[in-house]
Amino acid sequence: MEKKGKEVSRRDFLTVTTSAVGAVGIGAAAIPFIKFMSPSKDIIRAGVMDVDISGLKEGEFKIVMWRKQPVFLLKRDKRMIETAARIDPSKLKDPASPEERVKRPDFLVCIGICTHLGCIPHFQPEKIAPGFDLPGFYCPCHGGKYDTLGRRLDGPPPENLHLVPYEFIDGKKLRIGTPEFAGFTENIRKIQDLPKVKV
Amino acid sequence: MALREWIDERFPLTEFIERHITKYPTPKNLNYWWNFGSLAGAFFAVQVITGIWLAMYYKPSTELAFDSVQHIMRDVNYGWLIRYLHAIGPTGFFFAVYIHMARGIYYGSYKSPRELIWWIGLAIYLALMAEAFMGYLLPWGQMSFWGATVITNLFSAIPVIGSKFVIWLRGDFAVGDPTLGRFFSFHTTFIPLGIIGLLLVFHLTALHRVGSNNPAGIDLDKKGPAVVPFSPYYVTKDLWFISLIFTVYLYFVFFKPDFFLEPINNEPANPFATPLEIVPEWYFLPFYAILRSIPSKLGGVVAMGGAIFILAFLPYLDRSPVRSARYRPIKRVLTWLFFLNFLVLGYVGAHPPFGVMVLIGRIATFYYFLYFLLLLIIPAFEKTRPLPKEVEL
Repeated sequence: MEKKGKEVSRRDFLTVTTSAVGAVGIGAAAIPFIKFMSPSKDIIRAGVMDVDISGLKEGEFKIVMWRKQPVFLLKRDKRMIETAARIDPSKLKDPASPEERVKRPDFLVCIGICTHLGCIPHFQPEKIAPGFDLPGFYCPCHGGKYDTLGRRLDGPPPENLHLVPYEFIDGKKLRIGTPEFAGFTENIRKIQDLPKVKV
Repeated sequence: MALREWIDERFPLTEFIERHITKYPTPKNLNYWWNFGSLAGAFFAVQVITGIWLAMYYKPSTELAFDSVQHIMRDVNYGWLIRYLHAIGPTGFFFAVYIHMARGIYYGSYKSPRELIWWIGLAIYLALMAEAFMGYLLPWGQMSFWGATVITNLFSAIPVIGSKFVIWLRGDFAVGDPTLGRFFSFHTTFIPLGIIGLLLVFHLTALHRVGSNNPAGIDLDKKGPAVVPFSPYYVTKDLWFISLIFTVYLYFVFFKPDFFLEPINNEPANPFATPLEIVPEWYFLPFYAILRSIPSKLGGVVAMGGAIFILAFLPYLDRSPVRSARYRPIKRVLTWLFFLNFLVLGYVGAHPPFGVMVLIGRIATFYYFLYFLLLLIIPAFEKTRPLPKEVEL
């Protein structure tokens, strides 16, 4: 068969359609192999965790591991609440009001990963660092400074400490996470925008 | 095609494609029995890919192996699919390989100048058996454990050093964690890629040196009208046939995944309780029947090994100058009987060795070996039919 001008030969047609169907088939067959490498169901389900917080005293700080990421729990005392409230949110690099950071003023829950390069900041109950005379968090790696709401005050971090979905259960227990929420990689800035905790 | 030229100056891309695909001469008269080699290759590819994926979650330790397979089946996304593809794939692989070998026997494809292709193919078959056997231990179920125990014990039949050799093979005094570790290592690296993959390249290299045999069993002029280029003629035929068989394969994967799997292998390995009956996978049954037919430990092992190794002597046992059994009336009948006999051996292997099964097993074992002796004798009196000058289409 000779090709004349733009005429499509029977063989061209078959070659193109067969290749197209084959490509779709290979693409479809690749899906299970790609999804196989995503987190498995048990890892997804492990995204919801209960923590007993009945023993936490005023001013006490605790780190729990959730989804292989450190989560900061801080029972904030009066001084912590007051010093943080005095900061003008509009002057922050990543502006956020206290109401956007915590569900209860006396309790901070956030992911304890420095937004600069991923180290775990230290809790400083008295003063963060010289010149920062208020309690908060200090990252020893490159000098990132955060207040007791996890808001970035100074140093190289570009953002506030990331938030994580949580809810209080009868004031004694804290339920952290959802099956879908990934953690650090999902930076949702306002606590009101976080997904609801679900089991 | 400037890029193609740039590459061709540095790497024989076009030359390779023309030589092995677009201008590789293939006999026009190949029938469907010639489709099973590429089919086996397709199953090999599926096994390699699914195997790589399974190894991402599988844990080769006696403590964790069984549970890690359950984890893959229940928790890992599409884990059930990848695992069933990998567990049922060998059935397709051996199905293709057995028919591929039967075609070689029937049409005399082992004869000169294709002895090396035949021997390399036999080596692939041996490696494939080792690969399947080692892989079967990995899920660490009851049949995994006891199958491996029985098969490694076969080597204890070796005089003098037998029992020491078995301990060395297992790395322990019974099948245990060291055994599982080495089986996993061999199963996932050396045997599939270092042996089977490499031999596959040799198999095809040797084939492309001399070209395919054909149903008429005559030498064809590689430039003559009896050949067509491999692409597109046999590329399309192979793809069509692979699609057809894969439809059946995927039917089992999706709708009857347990059909080829032993129910008792869903129980974790228990070294204190042997299952009532130990049955190998179907593709080992004929040789298992030969093993059981000989009432002597060493004799059975030798017969089973010999049943495979005797195939290597085919090019020298069968001295007839005529390749295809089409033109050899006696070989044709004997060969069909040999295939039927192989199925009978498989049937016997699947049943407990009592009463009449023992007798059938022994007769079938006898005929299995007799066939090779007859091949040696029949050219002396067999009246072969005249060979065609050109292939009839």
